[in-house]
Amino acid sequence: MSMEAGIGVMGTKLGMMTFFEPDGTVVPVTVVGFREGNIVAQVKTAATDGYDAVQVGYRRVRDRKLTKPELGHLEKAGAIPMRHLQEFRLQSVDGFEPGQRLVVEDIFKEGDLVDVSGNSIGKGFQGGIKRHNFRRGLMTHGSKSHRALGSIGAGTTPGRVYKGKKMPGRMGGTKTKIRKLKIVKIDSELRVVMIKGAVPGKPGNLLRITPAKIVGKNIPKN
Amino acid sequence: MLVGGVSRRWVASVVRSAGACRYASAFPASQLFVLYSQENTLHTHRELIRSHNWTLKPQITGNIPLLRSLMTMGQQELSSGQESSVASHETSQSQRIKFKRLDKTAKHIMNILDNEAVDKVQTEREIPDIRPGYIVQLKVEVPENKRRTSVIKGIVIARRNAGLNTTFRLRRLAAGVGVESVFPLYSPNIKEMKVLDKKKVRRAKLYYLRDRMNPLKK
Repeated sequence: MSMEAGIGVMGTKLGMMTFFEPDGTVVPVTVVGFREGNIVAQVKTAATDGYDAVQVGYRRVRDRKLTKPELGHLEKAGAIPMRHLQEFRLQSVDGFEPGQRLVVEDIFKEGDLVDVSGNSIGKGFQGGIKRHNFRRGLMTHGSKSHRALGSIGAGTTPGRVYKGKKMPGRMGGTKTKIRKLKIVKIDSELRVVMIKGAVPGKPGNLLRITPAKIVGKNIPKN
Repeated sequence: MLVGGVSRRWVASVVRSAGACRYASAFPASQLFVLYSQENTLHTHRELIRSHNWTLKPQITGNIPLLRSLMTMGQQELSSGQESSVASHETSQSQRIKFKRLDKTAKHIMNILDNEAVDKVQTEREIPDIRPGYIVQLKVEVPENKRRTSVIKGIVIARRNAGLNTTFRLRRLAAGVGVESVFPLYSPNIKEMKVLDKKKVRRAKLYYLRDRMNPLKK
């Protein structure tokens, strides 16, 4: 597993709007809100678990919605019942204790670059043209193949279809990461962060926001 | 009980604040609720949120309905006495934590952000009402290494409302050629806007003017 460049937070996509920079440039921004959460639930160290990570929870729920093992796990850290738990694997885990609240303003500031990952919008079973950007055949001139795949392999040699051949299938609904997005504005009162550009999913989607992994910041060869 | 019953019925007649004061009573926010009603103004959205301890999303019951009701209704005439009686009756059964649907709170916050941004620009610059058929003169600052050029005068042929991103199309004769430009209404580049004349039109989008190059300043 690869490491993160720093501790991240989880957020909820709220929607998109425009933002006017002072010099008049129009920037499309995604508004990311934060529900009650982002509390450290467990700190894993190399001594106890074999790797260093910080487990963070998000989104408070009713007691009845979690199983007793999950509730017990969170109570051990003294945290509220939370639905989502994600780990951030770091190089050093000093400075994090169970039950610590992560404040977005401390971790990120305006102008930072972040990676945002989340579940993309599901598109269902899709054909080759939409899924893999294949080109379609002629629509007229006697052609019988419009949106079909075309050829899927060679002849007697090899006599089979290669694994990984791009074919129709389910598209979307998977974890996608968008790299190097700029934070345009952080609003402490509404607990909202504005990120330039688009992020995966629809409004209400869970997002995982981490500092961008750029070669200068990361260890080149682990 | 009678007092509680009466006040509950009375309160229910006020749209949606019934739910609000039933639940808000259990928390100190009720004090603030009364405070706002007495002051009788629609405070800015941020102040409302600030008063309810920033737990905007998964809320102790009543803060979101409280917020919604305060925003939709300008005036509340509740006396603190009635409210507290309702409070004591209902406290026992309303300790649940209530959650709003994710996309509803999302839209709520988006609206707040949008309205705030619009209000901010409104207070900074005076933006007149611009409708299709108006002849408008703008002072636009083009940031391509020039300052304060472009006094642009033309007729508004379309207006598209989208909150902060409201845009309008201006058609003018620039150097003998008809030019249409789209301007964001709240852009910081538009330094000044003046309405010169208002023509009577019977349409919202005046695209038919493209075929009629009437030399009357179109």
